Amino acid sequence: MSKKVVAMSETAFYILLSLTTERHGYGIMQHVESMTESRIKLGAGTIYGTLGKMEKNGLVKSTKEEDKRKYYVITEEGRDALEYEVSRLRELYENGMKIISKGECKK
Amino acid sequence: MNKSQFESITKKMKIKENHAFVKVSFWVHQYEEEERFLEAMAAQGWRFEKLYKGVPTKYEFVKVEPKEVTYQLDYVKTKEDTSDYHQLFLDAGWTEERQWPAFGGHWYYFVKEGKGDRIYTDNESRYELSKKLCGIYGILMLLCMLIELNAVRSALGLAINHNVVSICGILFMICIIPFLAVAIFAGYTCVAIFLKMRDMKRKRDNRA
Repeated sequence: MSKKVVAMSETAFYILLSLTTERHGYGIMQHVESMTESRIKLGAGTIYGTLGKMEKNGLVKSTKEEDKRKYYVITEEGRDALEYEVSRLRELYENGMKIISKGECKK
Repeated sequence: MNKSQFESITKKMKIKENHAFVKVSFWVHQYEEEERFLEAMAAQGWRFEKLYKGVPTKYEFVKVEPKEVTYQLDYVKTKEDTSDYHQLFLDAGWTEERQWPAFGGHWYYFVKEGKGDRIYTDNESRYELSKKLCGIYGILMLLCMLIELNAVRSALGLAINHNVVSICGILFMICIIPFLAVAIFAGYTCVAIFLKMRDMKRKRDNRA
């Protein structure tokens, strides 16, 4: 990945994760809501804008349009970005757990 | 929008049979205040019906049962205005109640029953909307300034060459006024959105 690497937003992460299967915007919304047990409800404007940006950046591509609904799927580059993010999160998690499990966090 | 703000807006509300008319102008960067205003009207049983261009803008409402609703305004550039955008909002439960043509695109008024739903659920996309608006009104301002400068130059040229203030010169000067008004409007809007963006950024940085 040549692009500048920054932490992915929760929105971007869950949209990419949803698009490992081909889905349309509303499908992503429902999938994210059920995956996070209603913790994250993505707004229509947020999904629309993020998909447009991701398509421009080559992280996702649109596959077809059916009944006015545009379908998307993750690209190779998007998968790389997702994998990188998961490994970054793993590092965060493991470093955090090292401290917490030692009880150094407790007062 | 608090109660006293709402009361001051609706103080001069005119009621004709089952229609109400309210004159109030919201600046572009105040679109969230406009949403809260329409929600407060709906809660009192006034459904938003029509919008009349002008200064101030006139809103028409129809008497219905009081209802708890959420309004969300979105600005879409013409080239982004595609059928899948409208379908997605429809799928998500939003009714497109009204549209309002604006420079370079449209404002859409979305409404949904109940409270709390938002069309922008993260800071990034809220910020993007402001960025888009700032760009649009920046271009509008520059365009008006350009036309204006040209008109002033032409008018001055005429006045100097003919040594008198010609009819053409006066006409040019009159033409300048609406462009100046739009330029000031666009300029003010642009600055206001810019300040809003700075505020958003600061809040985001504080949290990080």
